[in-house]
Amino acid sequence: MKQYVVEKPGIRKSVEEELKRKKVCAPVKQENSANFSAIHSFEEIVWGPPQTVIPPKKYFLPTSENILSFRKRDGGFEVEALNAAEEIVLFGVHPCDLNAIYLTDRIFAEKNQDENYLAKREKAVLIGVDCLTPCSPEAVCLRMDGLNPGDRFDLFLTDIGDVYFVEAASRKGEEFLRGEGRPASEIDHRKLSSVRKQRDELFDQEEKKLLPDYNDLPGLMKRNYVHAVWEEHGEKCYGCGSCNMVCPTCYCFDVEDYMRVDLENGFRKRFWDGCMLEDFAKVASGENFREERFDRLRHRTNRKLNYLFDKWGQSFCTGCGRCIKACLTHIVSPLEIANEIFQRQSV
Amino acid sequence: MADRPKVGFFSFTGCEGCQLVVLSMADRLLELLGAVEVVNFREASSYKCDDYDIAIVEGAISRVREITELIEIRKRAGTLIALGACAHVGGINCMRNFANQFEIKKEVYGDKASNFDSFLAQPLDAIVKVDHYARGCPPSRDGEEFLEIVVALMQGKRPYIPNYPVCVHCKMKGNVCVFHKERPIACLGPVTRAGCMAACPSFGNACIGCRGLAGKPNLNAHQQTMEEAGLTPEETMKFYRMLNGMMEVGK
Ligand code: SF4
Ligand code: SF4
Repeated sequence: MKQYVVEKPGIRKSVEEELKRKKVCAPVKQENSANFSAIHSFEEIVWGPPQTVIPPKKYFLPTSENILSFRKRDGGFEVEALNAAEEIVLFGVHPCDLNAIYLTDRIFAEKNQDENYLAKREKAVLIGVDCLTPCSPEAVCLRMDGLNPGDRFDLFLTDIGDVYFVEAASRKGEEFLRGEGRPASEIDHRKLSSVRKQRDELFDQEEKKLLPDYNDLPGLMKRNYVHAVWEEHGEKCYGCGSCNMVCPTCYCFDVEDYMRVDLENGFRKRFWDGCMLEDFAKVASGENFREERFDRLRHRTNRKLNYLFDKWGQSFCTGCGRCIKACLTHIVSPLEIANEIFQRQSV
Repeated sequence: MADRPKVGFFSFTGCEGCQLVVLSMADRLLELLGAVEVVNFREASSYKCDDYDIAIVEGAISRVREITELIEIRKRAGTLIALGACAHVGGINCMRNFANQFEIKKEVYGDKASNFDSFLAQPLDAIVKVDHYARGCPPSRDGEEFLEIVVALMQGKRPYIPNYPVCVHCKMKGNVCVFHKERPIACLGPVTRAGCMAACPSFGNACIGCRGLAGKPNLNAHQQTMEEAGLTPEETMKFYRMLNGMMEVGK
C-alpha cells in the first residue's frame, strides 16, 4: 500500500475532475440525517456525522433490480439476462461500511458468483474517509472491529490537520489522485498515529464496551442458543425488518416474476428481503422454520456474531450502529445482546 | 381462467375514488381492456350485464340493500376482489361505528333520519368471502398493485402481496423514519401492511394505516412506541380507528 500526503484543495480537485466524467456518490444531508446520493458539487459532501440512513450496499445490491426479461415464443420462453452496471465513484465511505463491503464481496464471489453484484462492484471506486469522531451516538465500530479498514478500499483519507494522509490500496485509487500529493514522510506517519490515538480515545466510551471477549462471540452465542434474552427481546420485536434493511452486511433478497397484462412479456425482479420478516423462512408447504419473532432475532444475531464470524473469521456486525437507531423498540443491538447474555450467564 | 375473463366493477358505501384510480391508469388501462372484457362499470359506462367471472367491489357495506346486492354478486362471480380500504377493512366509514348512532344519523339526515336504513359500516368480508384484496385508500401505487392481482389471476398464480410492515419499504426508500425527525411524528407504519412503497412517510407524513394491519402486527410494541412519541393509549386508538375501526388481525 502506498502512502501520500495531499493538500485539501488537491482532493477537491480530484473529486471535481471525477464529476466531469463519472457519477460520484457521497453522503449528503437529508433532513436531520444523511444518505448516499449522486452529488453535483464538492460542497454537498457530508464529512463525518451524521451516519447515513442506508449503507452504500444499495449501489451493488439495489433495493429492487430487474435481473431477467422474458417473452413467450413458440410455446416456450425467450429469456434475456439483465445486468446494468455503471461506473461510479463512492466517496466518503466510513470504515464500518468499507469493512462491510469487503465482507459482502466475499459472500457474492463465493461459489455461485453473483454477476449482478460483481459487475457493479467492479465498476466502483471506493474512497473511504476516516471517522475522527463517532458518526452517531449508536456507533460501536471500535468494539466490533469496524473502525480500521486495513486495505479494504481503493483510497482512504485521514484528516491530519492541514492535509490528508492518503492510503492507496489499488491502481484505481492512485488514478483518482491524478498525481496530487507527495509521499508521506516519517513526520506525517507520526501525525497519523497521534490523530488515530485521539480518535480511539473518543470512541472508547465506557457504556459502549463489549463485555465478552470479541473472539469468543461465536462461542458465547453457541453456549446460549437457549437463553431467556431471546424471548424477552423477541416479544418486543415488530418483525419490521428495519434492522435488516439498514445493515451494511445484510444481503438477503427475494425474487419474483411479473407478467405484463398482455401475458406475453414479463420480467424477473429481485429485491431486498430480511430474516426478521415473518415469511422469510416459510416454504411452499406452508411450514415456517422461524415462525416466532424471537427465533428470527436469535437467527439474525447469530448470523452477525456466530455463523458468519466462524466462517469468515470476523464479526459480521461492523458496529455501524444503524440498526440500533432504526429499531423503534430498542432491542436489536448485537453488542447489547451479547453483553446482556454475558452478564446474565455469569451470575 | 378462460380467455378474456368478464369483469364487473361494483360500488357500495365509499367515495368511488377507487374506480377513478383504475380509470386514471391511462395506457395501462387500455392494456387491461385488451385482456379482459368489462361488463359492468358505473363510473365509465351505463352498460350493465349480470354475467361476469371476476367481481371487483369497492366500498363498505352500510345499508340493508347493499347486503343483498353483495350476496348476489358473490353468487355470480367466480372470484371477488375487494378494491380499496372501504371494501377491505371498512375504511373511513367505520368512524361512525364508535359514535352515538342516533345522533350521527340526525346530524346527516336531519328529521328524515328514520327513513334511512344505514347501520354500522362493515367491510365486505363481514358479509361474504373475499378472494383477494387490492388494498389502500386509494388502491396502492396508483392502481399498479390492483393490476398485478388481476394479471396473477389470469395466470392462475397467487398474487405477491407483502405481509410485513410498511417500515421495510420506508427503509428501501431511504427515508428518515418519521419517529426520528427533528419534530417526531407518530406513525402507524410499524403495524401496517406494506405494499404502497411507504407513500405517506416518503412525503414526510405519518402512515395512517390504509392498507390494514400487517401479517402479525405487534400492537403491544406499537403502544409503547406511540407512548414514547407522546400519544396516550386513547389517542393511539383514535388513530387506528380513522381507517381501521373494524380491524382484524392477520387479514
Ligand atoms: S448489525 Fe447493526 S450495528 Fe452491526 S453492522 Fe449491522 S446495522 Fe450496523
Ligand atoms: S429487531 Fe427492531 S428493527 Fe429488527 S425487526 Fe424487530 S423491531 Fe424491527
